[in-house]
Amino acid sequence: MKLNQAKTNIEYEILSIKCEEEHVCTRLLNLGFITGKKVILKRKAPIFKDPLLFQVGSSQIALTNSEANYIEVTD
Amino acid sequence: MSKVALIGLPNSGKSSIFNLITGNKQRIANFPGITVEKRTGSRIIDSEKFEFLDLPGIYTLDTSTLDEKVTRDYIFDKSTDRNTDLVVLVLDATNLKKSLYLGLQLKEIGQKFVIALNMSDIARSRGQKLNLQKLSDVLGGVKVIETSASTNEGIDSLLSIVKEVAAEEKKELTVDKNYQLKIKQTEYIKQKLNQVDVILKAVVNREISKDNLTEKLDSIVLHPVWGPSILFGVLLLIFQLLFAWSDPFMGIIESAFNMLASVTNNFLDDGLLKSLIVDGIIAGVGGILVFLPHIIFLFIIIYTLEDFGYLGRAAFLLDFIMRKVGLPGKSVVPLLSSHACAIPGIMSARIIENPFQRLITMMISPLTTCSARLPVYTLLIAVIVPDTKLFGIIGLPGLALLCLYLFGILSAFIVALIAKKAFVPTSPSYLMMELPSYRVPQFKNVLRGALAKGWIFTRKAGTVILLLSIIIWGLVTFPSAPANKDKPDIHYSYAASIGKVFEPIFRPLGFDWKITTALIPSFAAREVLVSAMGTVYSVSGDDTEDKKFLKDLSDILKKEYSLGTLLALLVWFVFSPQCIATFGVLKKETNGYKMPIIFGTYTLIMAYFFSYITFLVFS
Repeated sequence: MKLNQAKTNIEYEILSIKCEEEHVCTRLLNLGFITGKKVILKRKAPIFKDPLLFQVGSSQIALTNSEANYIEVTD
Repeated sequence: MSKVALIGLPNSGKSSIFNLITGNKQRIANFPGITVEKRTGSRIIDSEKFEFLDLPGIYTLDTSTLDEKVTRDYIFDKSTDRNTDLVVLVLDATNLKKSLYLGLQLKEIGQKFVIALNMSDIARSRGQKLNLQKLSDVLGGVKVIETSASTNEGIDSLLSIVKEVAAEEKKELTVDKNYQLKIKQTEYIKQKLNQVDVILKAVVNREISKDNLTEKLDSIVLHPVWGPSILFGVLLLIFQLLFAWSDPFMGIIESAFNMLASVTNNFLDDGLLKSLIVDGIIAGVGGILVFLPHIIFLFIIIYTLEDFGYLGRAAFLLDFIMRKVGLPGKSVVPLLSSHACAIPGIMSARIIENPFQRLITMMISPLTTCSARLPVYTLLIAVIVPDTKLFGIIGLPGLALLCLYLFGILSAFIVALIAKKAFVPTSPSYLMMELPSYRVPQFKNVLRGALAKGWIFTRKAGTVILLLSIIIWGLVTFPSAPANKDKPDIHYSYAASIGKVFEPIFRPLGFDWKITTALIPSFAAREVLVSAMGTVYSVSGDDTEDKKFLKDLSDILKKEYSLGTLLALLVWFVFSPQCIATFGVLKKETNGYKMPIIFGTYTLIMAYFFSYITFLVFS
């Protein structure tokens, strides 16, 4: 499934990242979204549920819903 | 002189190390991307002079944003003499995993560098134990120094190492042509990150404990109910403090300059020189300095919130709404501040990393209702709107004022939306940001940064503003009135001639030459329109606080002009090109005259169009 469908506080494993624009992919990789790594959805922004806050490694990374849609994770 | 460049991840404390080394008045903050241009400063180490450069933060040598390119180009630039060039890589000891990646890349291209392991004190207090010797070994003997910008730890040893390594022999970069392509590849990135993992396993003796404080604070600050409430409170506080703190200081500056003017008045003989000094120069300089309280207080608030780590959270909370008009969440700060004054508002747009979004924010911020427009609005509302209560509770004048505020913010959003649709952004916009750990704000740095902002404004924007205000003084003063004048001086001035020349153009809006003439001095500052109208109609007294003056003036306006004209004038002030200080600060912030000219043109067209429509509808 896509990362933007993740449930909070459950650990997922990143399977693949597919972006329309290459630099988005590179940026995601540099922020720590790498195949095989674990990611946890920590919380969603109030009211609109977008953007989303993830924990990857020891960092807290905010992604918009559509940015998280590029990332395929385990169910 | 040897050159030393500081590079590192955003938020690694690079700029604070730079401050400590050079003593330069440079800003640091707990927010990615604060350094938008390179800063330099020098430092003498044992009688040898070194030039230090503070470069924008990067995650990797592969870059996507404009300011990241500045750093990459510096590293790869072949034209400079690289003989003694040295790089200090500032790493965040509390987030080694992300930081080391850049270290591996520097090693791989053969760049001469040393590592400042910053925030080591925090990392140690959270239990991290490192084998520094091993870290140096796996990176091929690179010197590693533990530092802490907040406690001064390790700065002296860093400097002596810098001197030592800079003296070592020259090293050419070993980069093949495809390097930029190679480092974009997923395989490359994965391989490098695995390498980081391997190194960390060997180097870290004890892992850093979790940042529980940040987690706890975030559960409140980003809470579904508390989050927005706190945000609302913070924004309200910014707004309140900006008015409450700045007002007394603005009052002091104004009375100081009034006093200076009256003292000078007594010393000089009547004549042009006196007029130039009192009405041109003293009034002009006073008109610049009066912005300082707003600028300094706004930046004290912004830098404190930034240092603390709140600004990133505010951006997170507001992202969804602001994205609808193509702006980032952070643009709320400049837009809100512009309600007090567009000058600090435009300057604060620097917190937006994306250059395109920053530009749009600067171009629309002045559309919001600044406090200088209040006297104009109050006067015109008093003439137009009957002072009665709707349903016995809501005062009509107040309601009208509220509508003007909403009108301002709405038009700003509409222009942003049009810009979003009309232009291809020069840089892609995305959120993808790291939220930093919370930190105790360092008030010394905050204050230093805010004062530096005030100083930069005075020096860089002040000259343009002073020049323009002297031009306006000249237009209002020359040629001087004849001895047997029967009308106020301004009727004989160039301003009046210009007003008359432009009258036919403005007639469709219902403006006569007296209004167009009064519009000219109002470019110096919006509220001047009120006293200028008073001058044109020779109403005695020109204090905007003077009730009798206002009453007399509004009686004249009511008699002289139709409802259509007055409403058109009101609408004109919502959009019209703003005061000269706005142009001065736009010129400074965009580094050229192009954007101020575009800004002036588009607001002029909008002002004309909407005033015309208003006049048509109401007459």
